[in-house]
Amino acid sequence: MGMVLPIATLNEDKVIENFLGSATVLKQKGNSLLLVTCAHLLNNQLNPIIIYPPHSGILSNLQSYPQAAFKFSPVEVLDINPLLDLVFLKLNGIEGLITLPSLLDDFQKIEVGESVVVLSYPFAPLGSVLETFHPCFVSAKGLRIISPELGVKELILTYHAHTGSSGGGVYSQKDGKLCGIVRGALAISDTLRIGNIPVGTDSSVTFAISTEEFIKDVTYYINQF
Amino acid sequence: MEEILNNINEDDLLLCLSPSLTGQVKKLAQSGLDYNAIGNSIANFPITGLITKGNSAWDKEIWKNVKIELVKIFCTEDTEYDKLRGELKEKSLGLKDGIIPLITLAINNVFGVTAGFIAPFVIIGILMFVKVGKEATCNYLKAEHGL
Repeated sequence: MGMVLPIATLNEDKVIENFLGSATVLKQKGNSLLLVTCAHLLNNQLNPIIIYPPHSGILSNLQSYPQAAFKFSPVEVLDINPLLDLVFLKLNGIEGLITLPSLLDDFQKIEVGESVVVLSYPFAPLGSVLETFHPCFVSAKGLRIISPELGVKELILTYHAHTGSSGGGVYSQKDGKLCGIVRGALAISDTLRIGNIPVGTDSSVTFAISTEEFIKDVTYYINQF
Repeated sequence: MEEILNNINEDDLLLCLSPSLTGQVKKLAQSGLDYNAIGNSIANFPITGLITKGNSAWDKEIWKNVKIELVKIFCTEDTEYDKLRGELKEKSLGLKDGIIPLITLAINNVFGVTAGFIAPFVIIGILMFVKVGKEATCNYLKAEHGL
């Protein structure tokens, strides 16, 4: 299936400051990877990095935890699309060829009730770099209205999203294609928090941006590599 | 600076956005929003709507901050941007690989660390100047931000 890596930020002393969530690998060109994560995880003051998890992003490998230290690399922020809540990133210095799935180019080709899998790093903000494989279903297909002329196609999933799941990849069980990026869950406003973690807001109505919304951007960015 | 703005074509500038954002900005414009309202709408988006779980690091002041810097560049003689103004006078500068990256980098050096975050807002900000004209946009933005 695909590859999803944890994303974090560095402080001024170049020490890992905060684990944020997940970043999904879209394409490889030479020694560089194009990744996508959620815009709401970052801002222009943060220095994002990609963490190299103990299993190298390969789910069939054993994931040892907890880890005292992590290897990481800075990533370049290529561009943002706030309406899609997406940030596109470039990671350099990759050795070898990574097998990546193709992207679903047509929202119509995925059905309500279809089995999908979410790959992500739930509870990454707590420091967890345990990647999980969560089977779930497409519970609805949504069109998020931005203006009378503009809507954004989204998959609504039965996936029980946690903080850190944002930016995770949604893959079809049918053909393995990447069909969405997790961006959040429908939830009541949080009133209780433990540190930065909201409590009592869990729900299984999770939203993922359809890959159809940004598939042309993937070619656009990879041509600039 | 007026000559540079006069030579920029609105459609060419729109194509400096990513393909998805180009289409979205065009649709928002078709719905009657001007480019200032489009910038406001886009800057507010990642933290609005029904999805409330978790934290958002998104800085919705980004659009306001970019507009203030564009006023300094195009409407004043602020010495902070003297180097940029000199670079922009180069005759052979392209839009996508010259003017936009130079302005984005110069603004980025003033208040940020990551150019990729502000590039779409720089483009939408310049669209305001190209669409309405330099003087009108300068006057409007100076009044809007009390400059």
